[in-house]
Amino acid sequence: MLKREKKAPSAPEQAPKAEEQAIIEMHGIHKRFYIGQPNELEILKGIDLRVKKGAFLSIVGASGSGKSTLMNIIGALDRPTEGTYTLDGLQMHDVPDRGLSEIRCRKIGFVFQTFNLIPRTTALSNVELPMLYAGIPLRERSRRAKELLELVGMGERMKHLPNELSGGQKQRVAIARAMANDPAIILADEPTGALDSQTGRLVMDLFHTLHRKKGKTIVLITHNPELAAETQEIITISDGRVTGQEKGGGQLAAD
Amino acid sequence: MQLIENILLAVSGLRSNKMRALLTMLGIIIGIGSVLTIVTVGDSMTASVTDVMNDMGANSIQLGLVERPDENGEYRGHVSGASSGPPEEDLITDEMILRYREAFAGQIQALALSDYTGSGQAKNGRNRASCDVQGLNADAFGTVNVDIIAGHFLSDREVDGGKNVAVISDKFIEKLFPGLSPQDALGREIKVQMGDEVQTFSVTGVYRYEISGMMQVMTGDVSTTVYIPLTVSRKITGNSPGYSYMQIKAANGVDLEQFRQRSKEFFARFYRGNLLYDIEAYSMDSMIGQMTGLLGTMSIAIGIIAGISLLVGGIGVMNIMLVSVTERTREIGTRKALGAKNSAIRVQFIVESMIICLIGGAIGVLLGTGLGRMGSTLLGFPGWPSASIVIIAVCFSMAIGIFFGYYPANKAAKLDPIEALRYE
Repeated sequence: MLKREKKAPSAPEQAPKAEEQAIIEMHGIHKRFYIGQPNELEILKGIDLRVKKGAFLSIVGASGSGKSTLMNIIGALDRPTEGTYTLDGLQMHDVPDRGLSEIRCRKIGFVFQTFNLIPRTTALSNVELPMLYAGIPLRERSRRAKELLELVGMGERMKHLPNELSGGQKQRVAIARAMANDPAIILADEPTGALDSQTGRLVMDLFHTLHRKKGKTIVLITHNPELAAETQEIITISDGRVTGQEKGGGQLAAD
Repeated sequence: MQLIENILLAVSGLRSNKMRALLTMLGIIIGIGSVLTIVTVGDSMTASVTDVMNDMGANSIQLGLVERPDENGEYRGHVSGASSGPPEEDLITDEMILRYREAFAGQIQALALSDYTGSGQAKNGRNRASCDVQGLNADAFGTVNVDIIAGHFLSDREVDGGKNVAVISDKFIEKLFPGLSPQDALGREIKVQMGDEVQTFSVTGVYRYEISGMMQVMTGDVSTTVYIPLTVSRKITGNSPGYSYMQIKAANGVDLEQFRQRSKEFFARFYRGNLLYDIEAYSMDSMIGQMTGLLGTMSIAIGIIAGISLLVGGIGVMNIMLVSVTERTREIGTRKALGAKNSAIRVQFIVESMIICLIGGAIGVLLGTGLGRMGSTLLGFPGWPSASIVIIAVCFSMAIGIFFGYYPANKAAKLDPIEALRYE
């Protein structure tokens, strides 16, 4: 028999739950590029952000304001140079580089402006993909992917390839994919940017539905003030700083 | 789990770009195909050499005239020309052979002499059978390696007496006298038309015809050999009474190499003053050595070509994989954003490269098996590539896939997701 080691199983790090359950908690986030070189560039100059669980928040800003960089940091694609970022109770500073993919896999659901469905791969397989990376068994993956596609109204086109779908349909598949691992937040980067206003409307309605019915926390990055106005809270970024924070009309929609 | 997904994905990717996939695989196909062909043909040749050795008897030597080079070191090419052999005065005479037999009494088990009479056609009413007629002495029985099923082979008495007898094959009977048993064929007369003349022989023996692969491939109509006494053959052809070639089987217990050397020296004495011809003697051992040596050289040469082909093929695969990684930068970025670990991306591309090489290898195996089969059949010893070489070939092509796929896959795995997502 193997020798039994007297070692208590290390308890999973349980971050203290903040009051009102903040999903995103950012303090003094700085991001600099080309550090130490003459062309050193500071894109984010101290961002404080707090997003409550179940919020529908929009981040607006002109191009070059730093909102993309902020999105990359929120989405665990990048790390801040300075400052602390807590995502769903997890100190991102403590996560090793290799662990970032795990965070993206389980905590974040990305929705891109250009849909970014995997080509030559059916809608169903696209939705299954994040679950594949999360190591969920095939049967369960397939069941959940079908469920999600039904939810976004794409149940009829599960076997279609991306190039057989319209822009709005692609974005709905992409949203279903973002939901696959039941992430803490859905991070949508200009999700209606490549769509006509009518289709864009449908996609926005879908976000509202997910927010209301599924209680999803959604962070919408946009430069369109009209879309931002639909959300509960609007954060304005300019020149790497939060310059505005106001309530949006989404408050009403939530009820 | 993820492996199956990756395999399916790779296959679907290849299917959507068939031409590119095929061109990429070409190097691998040619490399693996040629290796397999060579090995199959080589095995078959080894089998054939061994077979020849068994046929001839390992204990025999072949002795014959060889041309001396002229003062410029060039050959006039008389010996090789079948029709115009060495002139009569240069041939080995019966007198020489007699003295040789005396000198080496007790060491010679058999001394086979032969003379090609010609090809002809036997007729019996409507039935026809084509044949090659060969004159032999009685000693030659041991060298033709046939299985007598009725009657007997040519005897000394028949050869010395110049009797018009013949030993024919069962196949020959079948064609000429359908339904006649070999036993009943004994004593029958056969008429063989050779050129303008018709020769009549009485059947004295029947042997079992064995199909050789070469014959089967080359001719639909089987021509079997009719053996007649050497003396009769000489009469028909009018050939000069001498020999340019003979096969000598040593008695048991004789040192073959020494026997070969001394036999050669014995006959060489008669040719010391001959400016045109000399004697050479080969044992089967030395011939086999020569052949396997030749085969080995050939294998190395083609092996190098195959190796280069595989190398080029592998580089081709690497090149295409690099193109594929660049083309799919955005896809890679998306996958990473969706939570793919670097290792997952790496595995995906390595599997893809492996699948390309594996399919290429499989096609190569089919091609090599086909060509190897064809080549070995032409050599008369049809063979299949052994299972082990097929497995090695397939594993090797997979290894090429992994080796040449690793660099592109690693490049893909290390892409920065932000850059990759921004890539146009």
